[in-house]
Amino acid sequence: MCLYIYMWLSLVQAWVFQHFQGMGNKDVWAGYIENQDPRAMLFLPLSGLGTVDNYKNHLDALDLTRVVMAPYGDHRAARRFEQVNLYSGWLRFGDRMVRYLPERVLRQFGRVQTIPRHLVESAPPDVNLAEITNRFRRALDYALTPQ
Amino acid sequence: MHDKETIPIMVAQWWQDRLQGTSLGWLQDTSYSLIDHGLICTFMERWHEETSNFHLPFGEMTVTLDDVACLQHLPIDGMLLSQETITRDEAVELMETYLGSSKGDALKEVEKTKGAHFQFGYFERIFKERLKEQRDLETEYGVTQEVQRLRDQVVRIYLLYLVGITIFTNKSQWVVDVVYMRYFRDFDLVADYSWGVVALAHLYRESTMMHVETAVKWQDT
Repeated sequence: MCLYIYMWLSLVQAWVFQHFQGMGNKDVWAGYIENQDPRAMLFLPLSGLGTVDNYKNHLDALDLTRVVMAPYGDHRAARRFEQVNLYSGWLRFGDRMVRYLPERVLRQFGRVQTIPRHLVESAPPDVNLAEITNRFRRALDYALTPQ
Repeated sequence: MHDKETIPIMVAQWWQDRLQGTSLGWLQDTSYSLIDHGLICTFMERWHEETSNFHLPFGEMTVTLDDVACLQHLPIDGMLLSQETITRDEAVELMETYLGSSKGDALKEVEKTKGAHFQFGYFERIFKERLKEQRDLETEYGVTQEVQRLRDQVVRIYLLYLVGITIFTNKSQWVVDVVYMRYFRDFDLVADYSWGVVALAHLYRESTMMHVETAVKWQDT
């Protein structure tokens, strides 16, 4: 009766469907409403199920014309672009921390990618948890302040 | 928890009123029942922990907060979840106060899981118990304060369960941390937290773990 869902796997899968053509995303849901439903609901993961080798070859052969870097242009009525997306540095939840570095994937924000900074500069290793919370809060404050 | 007994509740006005503002309602719909493991593995091989991204033939790409916001409609512009771990006693207290658990039950549960955790089965049980209590009370006395309190508890149990089976699911942990109860005390405040960040951070961590596992498997063969 209880269905455990590995949401993070779902999220990776939805992300691949969204950004890479011909990677298991043949079927779309006819009932999808762009300015209402989350984008993950657009795709029905029914087909695909290729082998790792197939996918690998496909990915290696993909050229940039079949990669959709910034796919959410039509979705902004449902979810506007938040400035905090561009916050670069550590993120935490509870006592765990991970690096979040959109500065290395600027193409996904419709910008030109420059040579990335060194990791130590982007996310200094000597940071503590409280500091991460503060930095993120500052990024939010900054994003919410009218220019 | 979605079965013929509980589904009618999820269209009830009191249910929707409480859930609507939390921004977590979409979690019911944005996870796929079918995961294409070939597809996942192809990308996990290319995961890099230090930069939290995939190294692809045409450069670096990753799942961003914007992806999470658009794909799942989880809020990203809120406070980070910065809870510390809690003791079993604190867990029992939270369960009594906000989920209506009896002390004995709550103690038994933390004993069983050896920490401040619930098992999913326990959730399912108390979810149904509270539902029935509120229904019986309503039939007899109408929508009293006590009925409202029980309904709050029902929705809290559901939300904890929902984030447990979606955002926080991983292979090694079939329990839900009671500490997240703190974020469901007041329904109006749930959406002030950055659930999208939690989902993304979890994804990054799990990707790193899976990448390591895959690498070990290769070494063996």
